Amino acid sequence: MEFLTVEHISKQYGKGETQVNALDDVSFTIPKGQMAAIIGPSGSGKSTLLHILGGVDRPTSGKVYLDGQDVFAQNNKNLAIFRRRQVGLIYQFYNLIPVLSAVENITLPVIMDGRKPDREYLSRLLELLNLSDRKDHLPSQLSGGQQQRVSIGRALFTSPSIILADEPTGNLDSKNSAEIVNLLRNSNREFKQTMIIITHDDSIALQCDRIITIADGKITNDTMNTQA
Amino acid sequence: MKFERLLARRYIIAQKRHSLLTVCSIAIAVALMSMMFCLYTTYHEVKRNQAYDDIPGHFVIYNITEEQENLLREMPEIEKITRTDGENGWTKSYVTVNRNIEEEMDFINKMKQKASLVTDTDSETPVQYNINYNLLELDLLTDMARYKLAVEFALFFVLAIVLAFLLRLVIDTAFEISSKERERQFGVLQSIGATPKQIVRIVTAEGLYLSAVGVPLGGLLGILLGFITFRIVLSTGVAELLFDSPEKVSRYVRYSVKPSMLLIGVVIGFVWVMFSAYGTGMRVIKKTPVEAITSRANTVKKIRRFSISGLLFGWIGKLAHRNARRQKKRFVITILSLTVSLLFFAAFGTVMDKAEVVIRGSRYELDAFGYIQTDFNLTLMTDEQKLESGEKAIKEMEDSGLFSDFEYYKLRFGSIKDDNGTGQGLGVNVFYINSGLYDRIFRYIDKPMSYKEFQEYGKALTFNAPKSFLQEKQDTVKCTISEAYYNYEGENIISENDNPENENATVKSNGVIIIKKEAEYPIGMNIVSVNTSSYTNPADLILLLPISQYEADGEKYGFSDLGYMDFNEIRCNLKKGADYHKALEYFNTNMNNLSVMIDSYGLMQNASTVIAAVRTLAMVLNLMIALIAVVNMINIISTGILNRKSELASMQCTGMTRGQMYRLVTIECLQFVLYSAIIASIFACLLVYGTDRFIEFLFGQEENFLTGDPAGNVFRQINEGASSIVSYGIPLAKIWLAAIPAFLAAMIASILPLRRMQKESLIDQIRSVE
Repeated sequence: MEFLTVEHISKQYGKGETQVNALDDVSFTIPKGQMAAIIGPSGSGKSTLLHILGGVDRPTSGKVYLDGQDVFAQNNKNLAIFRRRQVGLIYQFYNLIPVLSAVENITLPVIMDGRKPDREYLSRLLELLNLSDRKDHLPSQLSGGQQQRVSIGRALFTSPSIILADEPTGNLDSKNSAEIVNLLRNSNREFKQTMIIITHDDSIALQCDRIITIADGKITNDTMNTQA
Repeated sequence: MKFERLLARRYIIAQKRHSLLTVCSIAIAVALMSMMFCLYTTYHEVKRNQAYDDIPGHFVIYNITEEQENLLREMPEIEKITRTDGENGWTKSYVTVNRNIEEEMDFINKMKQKASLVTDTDSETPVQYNINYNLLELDLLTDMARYKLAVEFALFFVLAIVLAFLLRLVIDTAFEISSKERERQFGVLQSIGATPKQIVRIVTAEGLYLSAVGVPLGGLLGILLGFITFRIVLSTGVAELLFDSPEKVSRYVRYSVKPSMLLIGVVIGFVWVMFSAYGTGMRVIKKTPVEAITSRANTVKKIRRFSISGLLFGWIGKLAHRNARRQKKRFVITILSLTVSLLFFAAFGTVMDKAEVVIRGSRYELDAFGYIQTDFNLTLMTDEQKLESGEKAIKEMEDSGLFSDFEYYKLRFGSIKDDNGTGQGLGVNVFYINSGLYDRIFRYIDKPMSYKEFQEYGKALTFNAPKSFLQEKQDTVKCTISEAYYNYEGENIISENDNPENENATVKSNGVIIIKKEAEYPIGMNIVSVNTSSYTNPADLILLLPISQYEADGEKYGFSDLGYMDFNEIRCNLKKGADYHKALEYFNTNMNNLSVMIDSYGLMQNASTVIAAVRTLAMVLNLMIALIAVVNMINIISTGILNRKSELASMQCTGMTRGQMYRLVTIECLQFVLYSAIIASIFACLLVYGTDRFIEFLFGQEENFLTGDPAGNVFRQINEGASSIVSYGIPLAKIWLAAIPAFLAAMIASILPLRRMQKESLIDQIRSVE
């Protein structure tokens, strides 16, 4: 059962001579619960693809279906609600809200949705993220690894259908990187969430079920990883 | 320095909008500063002109010879002497000096010595002189003047420095906005080898270039703004109060720009710009290149978890509350300046309204014999100051159709003899009053009888007589009325009845003859008794008698109507305020009969003019504060949004809708205005309450001599009356009304950068930091 379907996605920046094709007719599908890695050199279009998959950026052409729903057929408001409920985004630089504590950052999407955070789930998640004793700290009072864990917590808390991580360990040391990857892997297994991770790190890619390679805006290789 | 200047120029051109904002901020700051200095110079110049108009010289010496003048001219301190012929053959020599004379009396002595001037009054030809202290002071020609001016300057500079610090914020924020967007570029520059000093130089050079446009522009704008303010203040008519003719107003009341003062304003502005630029540069280099390149928006170290906004608006309110306090110092300063502006706008106006009502009210409500209750107090000047002439004058005035509410009294001074009929008696003022004044006197205390009954009563009423006096003297008071005349040599005494050869004429000195005549006035009742056994103040015992008694007494005791010590007064009101100038004309044409003693209507008009001028000046000051507050608020809000560009984008990535984002910034704006309006409202109530208490304190101490009540009681009544006209609700309503444009300005300041940001994709917004 295909959960994510990407059909002929293209993305161009600029016009005329300065036009850049960030993505060029990219198509693939991802079944529910799969953890996929997207690798490729810098400027290959990985982040652009990820942002399009998350409904953060719109493609120049092509369609993205998530659980059968045409993502870009929605207006901006519904697209925001879609991101809030269906997508969990993790950035390399965390992008946490500096005025909110760890726990407030994690629960923000749910609060934005006008719902009350599930306290039981929150404490489970905090435990999983090993943040129970740092939950009331502000981002500036947390280490890089802890901030990234908060960012993962924020992505997981709404129990989204898909988690998109843009080089989640790019800003972390090897110990913290290993912890984060384990966390994502465990989360994928425990919550059966579909996950796409952009990475430069082969060791991370090798832990994923599938590895998609992009170069010059095109998929050049798409292999299942049996070692994962 | 070449590369720094080049980069600074490129940045200015590349960031046109920011450069324009910074130039505008610099221009506004410098303009306000220069305007203040120009208005201060103008105020000084007008004050000097007024002093010069009073006496066109630093000293005026009367009746000196031309030889003496020439001797004085030899003194190095004297610039010029202008001689004019005065009345009665007197000459006036106006002496103008050109350097510090240290002490004016020493200089007078020097002049006396130099020109052998004799000022001794026993001398046959004493020389009189006058010192124009105001002009000496304004021209800084004495040590004391320099000291006074130094104090005045110090006060003015304190005000200017306070304003300068507020303005510094405006410039500062403008620089911060433009540098914030380039923080990453500065980081990159540092990472490729630019030293922190070079980065500071780039920002400082930028400040220099922008000042080159902004500072002169601000200086010119300041002159223009000052001129507009000057014209607006003049339109209140305040100049006509200082000078007695329109010709003098146009000659002396001029807007003046002193280059040195203007330069001070401009230099302060320029120094502030450079400080701001340098400060911004120093802030930029505090970050390491990596921090600058990858920096998060404002690192937050501490937050307050409880907030009213959170209670009212939920999580968005909570977020807005925390966002607004990221730059706590700026938040507080913006709230303060906005509060002061709102408070000034609303409460000051209300306090002035109240002051006007109290001033006008007190005129009508103070003691019954007060001199400013009616529009005009007139002295009767007819050759025949008989009782009928007062009535005649009133009749004529009534016929003119201009006046109403006539009051008339004749006052005679005298004493009451002791029991043994000798010695200094108790002083007494006998008021023969008409029905109008009778009614006014008994405005606050019960009328003992109607005026008609009073006329038939045949006895006097007293005020403030001691109890013991009443017990002893009721029904048996004998007054000795003193009459005095000028005995002009060679002229007939006015009437046979008042012949100074009269045996009762007791004092003859300096041409004034005082004649004492006795009259008996039985006292019917005392209106307000005083609880003292002895009564020593002769002026305060008052006997009231109907005016009809005067004629009878004149015939009975031989009183004349021309007593030098007597007093005839008519009081009246204008029927219509618009007829004020007609009334003055009427008095002018009848000046042989009537002399205007007090023109209360004119005084009140003048008071209103002064209040209007103060209001206008306050309004200009208020506009300045409001402008600073609003520009600051706009800057702080737009900087805040620009600083949080990636943060807002990431919130949208996490699912925040545009509506939620707009709600967030709306609440952020609302917070500024709401907090300021609440604080301003509290202070406004305290200010109005304080004014009430202050008025009571000021006037609560003295006694109203008629009612025996503290005058404060009367003022309390007026004040309470004023409170019903000028209620607490007025400043509150004004504050909240004024808060609306501030809120709109804040919203515009938020929406514009938000809309601009939304033209970029969320990715670009996030990447702007990453």
